[in-house]
Amino acid sequence: MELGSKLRTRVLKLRSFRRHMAIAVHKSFETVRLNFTRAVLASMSRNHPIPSGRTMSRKRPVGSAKRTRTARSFEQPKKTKVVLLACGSFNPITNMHLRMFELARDHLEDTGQYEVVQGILSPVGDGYEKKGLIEASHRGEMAKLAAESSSWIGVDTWESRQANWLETVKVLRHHRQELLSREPDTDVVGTAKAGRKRKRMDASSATKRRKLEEGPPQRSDEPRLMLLCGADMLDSFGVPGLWKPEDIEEIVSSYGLVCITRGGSDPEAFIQGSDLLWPHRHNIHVVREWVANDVSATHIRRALRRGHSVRYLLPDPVLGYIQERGLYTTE
Amino acid sequence: MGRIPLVLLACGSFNPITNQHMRLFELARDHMHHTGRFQVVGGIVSPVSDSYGKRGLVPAQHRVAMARLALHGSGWVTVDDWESRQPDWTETVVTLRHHLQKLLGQQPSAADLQMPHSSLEGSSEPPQLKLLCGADFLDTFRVPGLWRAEHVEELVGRFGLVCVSRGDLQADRAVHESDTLFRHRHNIFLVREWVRNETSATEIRRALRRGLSVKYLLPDAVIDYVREHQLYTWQSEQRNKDAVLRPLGQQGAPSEPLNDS
Repeated sequence: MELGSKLRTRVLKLRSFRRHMAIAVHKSFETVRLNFTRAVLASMSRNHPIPSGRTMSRKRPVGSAKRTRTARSFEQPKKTKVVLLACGSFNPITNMHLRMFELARDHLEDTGQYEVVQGILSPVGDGYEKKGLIEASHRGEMAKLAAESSSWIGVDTWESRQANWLETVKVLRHHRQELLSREPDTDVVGTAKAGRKRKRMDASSATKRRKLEEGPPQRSDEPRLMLLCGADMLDSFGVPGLWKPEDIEEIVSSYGLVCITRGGSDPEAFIQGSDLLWPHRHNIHVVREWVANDVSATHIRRALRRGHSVRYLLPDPVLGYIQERGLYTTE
Repeated sequence: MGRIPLVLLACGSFNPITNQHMRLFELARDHMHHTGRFQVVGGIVSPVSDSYGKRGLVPAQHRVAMARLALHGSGWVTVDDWESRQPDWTETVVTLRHHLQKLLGQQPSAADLQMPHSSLEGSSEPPQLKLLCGADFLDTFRVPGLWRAEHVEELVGRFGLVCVSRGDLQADRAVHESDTLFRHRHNIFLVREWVRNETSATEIRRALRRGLSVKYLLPDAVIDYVREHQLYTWQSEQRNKDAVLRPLGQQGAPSEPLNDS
């Protein structure tokens, strides 16, 4: 088919093609053809917006259009901007939590594909009702004190202010909308696409499947929001009934996971053994912490109950806050 | 009987000082206090001199400066540069003797020790000085030529050790396997932190060489100092590359069998 072969040539030069083929290769030929067409349509809609006088997106060097525009033979690939979101009790926040951000940023930027522009600490709300969870107001304050010395990590208390506990995926969706509404809309097309994306968030599962196969619908200038977590969270995906499969799917497809290993877990093996995760393995970044550091908030709370020092396990201002208010002295 | 006033001395490269080093003091203080027999009144960080010859050792002035920055907010641990200013490497025992002498010779009005003299008053017991170390330190006793037997005896007999380790049994085994250590086991205090925290100065230097973040592993002020002085690079790690550790050279350790030169 003549039209089909023209489209094929153009798509071959798209970076996203590899991802689509990786998924497609495991399905039947019929589905391969179907996915292929969808991929083509998706890439067309991204790179050939409604005619508005603009040429191909200036921001992403894609295929032949970009090459003809410049004499340079080598194009610096554009880096994807990333925002890291960490959800957790932070009860209290520790140096280990903050290290996760640093490790994740180093890892992603080391690939040369990403630029980590922001880190967000999102303490869980009191509705989580975990034993020993002190008030969200304290946990948020301590996190703010801890993040003060960082130029890129900050605290968002939206989740902690919600009356009921929220699923992680809902927190991700909220923060993504926040990021989108912050991004300058330079043209009508951008706004239109953002509106379409928001509608798609609540779409039916059929549309969700299509969205998955396309990969995350990103504008080229939109920072990608990724969930930052420890390997224990990844492992928890395997606990029956704990996570909704469609939530996991959305997290690893529309967002992405940056998972810091702790001793005693093997994230790669877990991903390998999961049919749900494996198609999105390129969106799951496993960061090896070469130096074991098992210091946890649990350990710190225990030490505080027993009157032991926790200095140098968490930032001094946080320790001062705890001591001033006599927090964590009892169970 | 009153509690024995106790000062903890940590000798080491402190290349650079890390949060983990400072944790050792905190853990040791809690432990010794909880025995009911001791009142920890001070801590001393004593960076080794440059003549130690360890690989990657940056000049003592920097190591001392960084330790001071790190311990700036500490109410009880101080940095002492006596050892680092000596012309040659000083045996651990000699450093301990120096500091004990200073401690015992302290008059209530003297201010050379930066701790409130009232900590020493009100106790009928003379103050003690013990060496603070990690579990791997105990294993160094087994390295041929590194320690003189009489020094080990003095170290654990006269002074005593406070050894901080993880929940494994490495330290226990080291005490068990050495007759000298076993004989003085009551003067060797094994402190456990039941979580692994393997952050070491070696790892931190490696991360710094590679431009990776070390934030939250050591105080910001120390990180700033390292950046300002461009301390830890590939070049700095090559320092002393082919040198023999001073204690080994000094005590005439047997050379390698195949080294015919």
